[in-house]
Amino acid sequence: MATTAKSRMLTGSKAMVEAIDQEMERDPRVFVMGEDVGKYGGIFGSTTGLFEKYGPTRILDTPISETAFIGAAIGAAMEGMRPIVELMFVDFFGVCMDQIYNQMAKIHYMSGGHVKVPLVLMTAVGGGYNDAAQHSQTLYATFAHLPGMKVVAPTFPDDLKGMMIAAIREDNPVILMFHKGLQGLGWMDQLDASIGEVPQEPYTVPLGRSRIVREGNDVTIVGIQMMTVHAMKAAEQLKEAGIDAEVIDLRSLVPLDRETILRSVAKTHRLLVVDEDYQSYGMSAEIAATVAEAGLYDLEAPIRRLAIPDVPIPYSDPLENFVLPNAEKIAEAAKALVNM
Amino acid sequence: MLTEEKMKGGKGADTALQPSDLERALYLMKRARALDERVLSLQRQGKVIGTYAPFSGQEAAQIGAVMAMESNDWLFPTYRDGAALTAFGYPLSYLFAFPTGVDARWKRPEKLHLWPPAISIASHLPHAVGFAMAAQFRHDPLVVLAFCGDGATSEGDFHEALNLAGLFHAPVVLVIENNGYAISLPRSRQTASATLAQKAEAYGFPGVQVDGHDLLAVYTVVRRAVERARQGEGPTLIKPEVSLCPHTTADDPTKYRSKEELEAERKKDPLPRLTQYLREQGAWDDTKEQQATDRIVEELHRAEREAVKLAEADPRVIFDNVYAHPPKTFLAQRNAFLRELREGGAPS
Repeated sequence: MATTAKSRMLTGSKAMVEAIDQEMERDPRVFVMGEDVGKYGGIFGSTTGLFEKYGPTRILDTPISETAFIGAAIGAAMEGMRPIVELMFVDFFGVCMDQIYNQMAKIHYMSGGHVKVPLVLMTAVGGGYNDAAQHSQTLYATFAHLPGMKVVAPTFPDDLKGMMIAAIREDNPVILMFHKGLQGLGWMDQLDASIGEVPQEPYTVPLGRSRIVREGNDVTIVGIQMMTVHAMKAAEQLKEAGIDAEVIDLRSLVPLDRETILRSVAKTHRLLVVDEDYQSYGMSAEIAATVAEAGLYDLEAPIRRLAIPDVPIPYSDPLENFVLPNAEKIAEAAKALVNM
Repeated sequence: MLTEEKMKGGKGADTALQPSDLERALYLMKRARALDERVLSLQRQGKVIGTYAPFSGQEAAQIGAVMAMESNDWLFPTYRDGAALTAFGYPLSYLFAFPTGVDARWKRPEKLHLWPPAISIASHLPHAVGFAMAAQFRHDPLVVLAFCGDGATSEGDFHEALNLAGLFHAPVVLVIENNGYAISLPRSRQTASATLAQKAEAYGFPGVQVDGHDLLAVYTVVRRAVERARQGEGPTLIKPEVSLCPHTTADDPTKYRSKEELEAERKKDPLPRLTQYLREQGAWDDTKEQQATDRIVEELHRAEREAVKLAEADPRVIFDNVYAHPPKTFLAQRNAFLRELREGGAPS
């Protein structure tokens, strides 16, 4: 993202809010619906200040009725509006999944293309702050597996803004996942990555293109959201060990930018995929399969995956730290790959 | 569920509260409040790293309801029912351990008729109904008492559970603790129904409103509902009005509630109310107050010390209880993971 003179430092949450605000100003069809999105401003800061500006007709607080309000947003989208609806935690999808994967994602297809559902479903993902098994998941693969919707997960503030605007303007339903730990919230651990330069004017970042956040020649590390942040830290540690890692921030799960990964592996000949999701049947397997299918002969070492083992995410602090990949684990795994 | 004698006796007919029962109730309420305040103070000291849902203001509703249960009955609580849990015999140490980041909340003493506290909203209500239906099927005269909040009444699980309970005359008592807010959303924006109690009517069984700051009133209506359920007359919905504390330790209620509103809520505090009543009855005095305070301090200290011992640092427990019979692939994953932890050095 090219920066301009009008860039300033914004947190992830402020970048998202600015995107929604600018699109609401531009397009009267855009509105927000969800739990605690009004006066509260979203429990992870996704709508802070918008209620004060747009009032209760365009920033709608809903009852705790996910099926009802996501279903209603689908209806409004079909009628010509461009709703943004917030599912407070991605973990809550269970109570409203029919509306998401059978209705939102399939109505366009089932209607023979007659009906469009230009809806953004934004939802908070991720763990690392002791919120236990039912409030700490990312569930990237659960959504990316299902046809009919785009699934994006921006990491940095500038991408949060650009991809949110792109998602709102997109005619497909888009699930936009934002990571709680990268929103720059006061009550969370403060991470440098949750604050970044963000251009003031509206702009879009295409949905479906990854971003090489660090160039290198010795090993390709693919991550998304918090795992990208950890991978960049790991790359610094690897540098001290004389290893030059390339880090790819996926940004988008559907569409998946396979070309960038394959090009990188053709250069580095080694691949490590890091995922803050369960290991089996996940994003890491999809990327490994992609490289096995289309880039196997570029590899000089077996593909390596780091993910959460197939267990519910522990509530306890030390135990949660055991299961989440971190910079140290990534650096260890990358070293082992290079020294193989 | 109030005194040892009553628990052993379990006589449905003996429903009137004795002065000793009320003294015990007041003690439980004071102890619950002290625990709640202690955990919040630990949070201010940075010793609470998990999320904690306070219950101050809801002690009379929770403890009054639990007191109306018999020893064979089952409790289906939520994450906000700490006062009910402690009155039900749940170890205080577990309540201390949970907010400091130990998964102890999921443990429960074997003999306690307790469902694990529901974290998801209304998700446990279908379980409560199914549990009650199973007991009915086995001709077991137990009654299930489930708590939920006002926000839960908008969830599909709530409505489907109520429909089923009404249809099958399930021996269930559902207590909706109406504290007026679902995080930031006031009750008036949650539903257009005039009352939450009237929702029961649509599903074919009675709904009762009660002042949740009045322990005696709560006890009386819940007791009646429990007896009704045990006699095969089906479910009852009870809605005690209670006061509100912050949603969780991650919440700041001053964002969406006025100072005046918060102050007015504090005036309804159920603790001074029962204390004053007992004093007027001559059943409570300064000596008893002092004895209670001393005992509470001692109990809480002991519980806090025990809570420290519950901390789990062995990473192997992560893989426990995922499967009854772990598949080979799962065990292989576990072994590989633990090997890497040893070789790579365990993270701090």
